[in-house]
Amino acid sequence: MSERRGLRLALAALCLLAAPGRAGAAISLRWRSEEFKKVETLFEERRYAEVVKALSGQGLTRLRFSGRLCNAYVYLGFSHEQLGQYDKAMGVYQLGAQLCPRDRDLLTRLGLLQHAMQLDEAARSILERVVQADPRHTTALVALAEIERNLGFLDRSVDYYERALEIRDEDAALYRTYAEALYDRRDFSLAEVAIRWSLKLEDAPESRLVLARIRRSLGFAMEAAEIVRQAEEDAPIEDRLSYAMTAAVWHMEAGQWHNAWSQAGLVLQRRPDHPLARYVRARAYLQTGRPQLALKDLAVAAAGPEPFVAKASAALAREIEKSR
Amino acid sequence: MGGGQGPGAVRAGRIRALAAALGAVLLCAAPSQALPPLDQDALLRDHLWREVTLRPKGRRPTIGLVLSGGSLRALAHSGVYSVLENAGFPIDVVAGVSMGAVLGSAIASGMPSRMLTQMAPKIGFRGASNYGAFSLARLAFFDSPLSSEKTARWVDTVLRRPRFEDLKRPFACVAMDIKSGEEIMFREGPLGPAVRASMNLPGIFSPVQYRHRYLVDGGVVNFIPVNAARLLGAHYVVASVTDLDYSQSRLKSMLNTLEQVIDIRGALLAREQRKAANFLIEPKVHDIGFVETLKALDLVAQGVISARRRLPALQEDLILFSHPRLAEDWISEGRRRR
Repeated sequence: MSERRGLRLALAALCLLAAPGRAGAAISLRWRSEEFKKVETLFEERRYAEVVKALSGQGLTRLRFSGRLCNAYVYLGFSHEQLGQYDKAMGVYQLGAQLCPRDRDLLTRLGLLQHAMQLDEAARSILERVVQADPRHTTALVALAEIERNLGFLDRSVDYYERALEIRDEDAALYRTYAEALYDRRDFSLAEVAIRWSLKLEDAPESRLVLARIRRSLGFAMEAAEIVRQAEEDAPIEDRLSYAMTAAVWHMEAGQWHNAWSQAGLVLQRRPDHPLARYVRARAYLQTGRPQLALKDLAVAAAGPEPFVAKASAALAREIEKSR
Repeated sequence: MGGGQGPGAVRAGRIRALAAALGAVLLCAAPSQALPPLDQDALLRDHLWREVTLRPKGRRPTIGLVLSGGSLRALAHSGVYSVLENAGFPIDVVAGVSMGAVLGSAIASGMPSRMLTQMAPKIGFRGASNYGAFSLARLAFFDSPLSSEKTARWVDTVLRRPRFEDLKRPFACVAMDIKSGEEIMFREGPLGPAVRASMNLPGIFSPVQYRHRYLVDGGVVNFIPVNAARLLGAHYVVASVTDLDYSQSRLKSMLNTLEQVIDIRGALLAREQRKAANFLIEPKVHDIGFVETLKALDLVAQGVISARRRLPALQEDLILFSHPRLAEDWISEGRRRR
């Protein structure tokens, strides 16, 4: 009996000793939860520098047992990204992915950052893990589609786009990129169906540009140039020059030299040293038997900052000189 | 209690809100869904690329595709070819050696890249020979080499083009006469035996007897047969090269060691041949041995990735190479108009 009593006493003593610890743990958890809420608030208010400050050093360590550690890694990594500290963000995500290997948000952020940093092969394996865990994770599906397209696996890219479109079937931009992947695969007819559907959902100038590329590949160069010229009017101001230039090049391709010349002239009014516009105008001069004027434009284009335009202009100028 | 919520409900609501915020963050940072390239270089490249590729054969340079040896590693060529085909790259003549000859014959026969990339993993070392436990035992104990006859049968049955002359594109492959050390170039006649001789690894396969000669793998004397493509009339040669950095490879077996010796010789020969090609595509094939067929799909993928990365540079290079002919036409057209 005395032994049993002794055991009871020992157990009671243990319980007594343990009680303050548990209470302490509860207080500590509550405190950690409060601290995490503060970080959340900072993040929601886009005060990224403060999020980084709060979570750096011991910040993450203190949240170890809060149950929100994985989220904290996403917040910290994303805040670093927003501050342009991509290497730090990558480090945070990679460490986070080791500690939370099943956290889809964390893995997706890591995959997207790797994709943005052109580490496509690494990004692919990370995002494939996300899609395995959640086959309807559209962000990961679209990123995988882009990665496969970049790497040259066009069939796989189209497949991922189709899976994403099953979920986001009202997304005009997604239909547009799908059409582009089909275009890359030289599946022009299907690409045209996809881009027309995208235009039906939203009449965006970017989508009209893609439609024009497809029509051009189907042999309708004049129609394509006209579509681009019209799309230019609705394009964002910063892109208009590029649209105008595209129309100029395609008019030249269709043998509409006068249109090409005048379109290039419009571009040159806005930017007199535009190398590609100079090249197009030089080709138009050459076509109409005025090599001297062509040479003047080619000299400007060859001195421009665009490496390929410069090389092609110099090569053409050499041939003209040789032929004289 | 009417409108009040318990602490659990409040917490759940907050978590939902947070999840929505995180979702928004992820969506905002979703892939770019970028526009087609509109920069000046890309626009001009795209335009001139069409000018070059839409021209009939006589009005642009004749373009040759050369596929190096490299045993199983050469399967990466099928990935390279798929990228070139998707880009509308014109291929007028094909030359290959060793496994490059097997794939080259398929390309010359007009086999679509999709079919070739599906088929490529099956035509590795095992698919091309009677490789197996029994034949290896015979090789080890009775000095009896393996047979590569399955290669000739594959060419006859799958390609269904018994002669070089039946192929859709001119094709050449290279073998070596083991008695004289001469390089033997095949451009006509029966296709199956020529392709078989070209990939007939010395020491492993018995030499192929062909017109009083004993022929083995041409990779021993000509690892990148650029000269074969030139003989077929190619002005511009793109070579897909699958040699390896042999200093990094691990010697795992007798077969590996023999392969390494051939690779070293091939790499030394390739130094000069590389300079003869106009453009090189070099898939990262590492030190994959010729029996590691499980890695075949990785090899094809590496071919795709390397070719995709090099494609814009290849297009620009070919355009500039073709430029004198293009310019000549433009100038003469201008003169006519004047």
